[in-house]
Amino acid sequence: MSRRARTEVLVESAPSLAHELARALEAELPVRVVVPPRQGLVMNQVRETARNSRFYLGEALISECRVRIGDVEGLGAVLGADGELARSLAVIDAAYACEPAPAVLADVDARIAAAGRALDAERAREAALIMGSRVSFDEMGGQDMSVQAVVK
Amino acid sequence: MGYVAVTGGEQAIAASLDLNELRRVEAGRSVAVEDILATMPDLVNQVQSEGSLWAPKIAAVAIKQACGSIEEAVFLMRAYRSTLERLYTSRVVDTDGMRAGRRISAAFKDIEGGQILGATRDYSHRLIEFELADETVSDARERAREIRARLSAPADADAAALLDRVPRVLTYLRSIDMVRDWPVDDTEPVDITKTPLSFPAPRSVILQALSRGLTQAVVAIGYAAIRGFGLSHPTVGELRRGTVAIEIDAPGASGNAAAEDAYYLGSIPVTEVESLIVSDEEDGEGGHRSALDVGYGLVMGDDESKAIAMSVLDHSLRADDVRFPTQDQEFVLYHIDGVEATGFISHLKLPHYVTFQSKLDSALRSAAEKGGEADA
Repeated sequence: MSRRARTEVLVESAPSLAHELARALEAELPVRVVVPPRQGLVMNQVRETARNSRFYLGEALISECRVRIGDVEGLGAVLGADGELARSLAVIDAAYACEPAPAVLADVDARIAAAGRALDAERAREAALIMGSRVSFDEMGGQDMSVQAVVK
Repeated sequence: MGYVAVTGGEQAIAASLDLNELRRVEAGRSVAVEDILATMPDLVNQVQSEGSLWAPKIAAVAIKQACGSIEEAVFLMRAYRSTLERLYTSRVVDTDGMRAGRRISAAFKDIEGGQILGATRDYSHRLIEFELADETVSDARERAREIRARLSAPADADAAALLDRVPRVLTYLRSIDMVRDWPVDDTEPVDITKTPLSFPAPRSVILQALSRGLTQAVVAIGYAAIRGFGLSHPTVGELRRGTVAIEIDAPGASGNAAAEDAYYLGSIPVTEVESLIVSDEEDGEGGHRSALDVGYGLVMGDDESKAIAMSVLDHSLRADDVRFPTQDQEFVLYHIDGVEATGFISHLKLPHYVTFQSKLDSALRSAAEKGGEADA
């Protein structure tokens, strides 16, 4: 699982998941905090679709923490004010950067994968609710108003 | 006359602040921040959009502190923001990857992916539900349970995949050459929080200023642009509401770091509008033809009126033609910022003793001179 996918699962799941995994890792690995949890900003830049250019939409509050396990550094960063979650995310990030991979990581990986499946299932349930509001047009024998027909 | 230093206001100011705080608490009731977040999300979103800072819990506290004044809450958000260090700039958000909860088109009935109404007030009766006056927490929970049961449908992974990447109406219009396909423009955006406005403003400045503008000002000026004080009359090609992922690259990573190595920080809700405006464009052979130009709106939160008005003004301001105030960049961009506008208007309450005395002296002298002439 890529870091992008892993951090999404950890951030979108209940914070207790990241805390439990971090505790399990810290029981096995020597973790040193390099940058204690702190709050700051991330400026969000977007690409607009009219001219394909970029602009700044606005900032968001984030919490960040950096830790070290041996020589490798881990970063935890999350929207909002939750320094403890940032710290747990940093511990997990550092553990994934360790080489060779610590034995405890196999269990961590399995739990993140399971949380990812639960997250997908939850999103599928929510998507089903939203799709109930998709308009189902009845044919009335009138003009075809599809994109393709209208632009012809 | 010169400036005269005076003392004696400190106690009065302290008492005034006490009276203001008393006004907030004298009813002996307090609303939990969690309740503001849960029951007034649109208000919280507006404060964040105009405050140009996504921090829901802080915005809810600001609303509480400001006794519900949006103007004051936005001011508090901007002030809070200035105390924080900017640690990162996000990877460029691609709104193609918006997780949509609603998307509609006013231009076409049948669009790829379908018209998905999502949660909207568009079809509500706008009648006050008086029974809400007595609604309890358990009533709200029960109503939520009933609605969820009514909407109940089997989990749908295909639907989730569709909502994760809804096809765009613009893509089709570009495929038939009715909307110009612009090359990727990676010009570094200008940040108006660090660079004062100057004109003509670059596109990034226009969009940032509109997006964080005072909601009602953006809507009002956008309306004026359509109503006759401008030349834009758009059709909403597509409106979509959903969440976009905020990602950062690893510290020290190069500019083209792999997306898979990025950190996901969370998602924020946004509303995006692509308006279509019939325009005249050069056909590349010295002639002209009719085509569709696109006005773009993107705001943090759920305010569809603001996003539509932003798309109108994006198109309108490209003309930078002062014949219409709605096409005058200075007129629009200088005056739609909430803190700028309310700050300036508000400062008129502050002491102007010296400047006013000067004006009064001048007026009295003029009147005396006129009186003298009349006597003569």
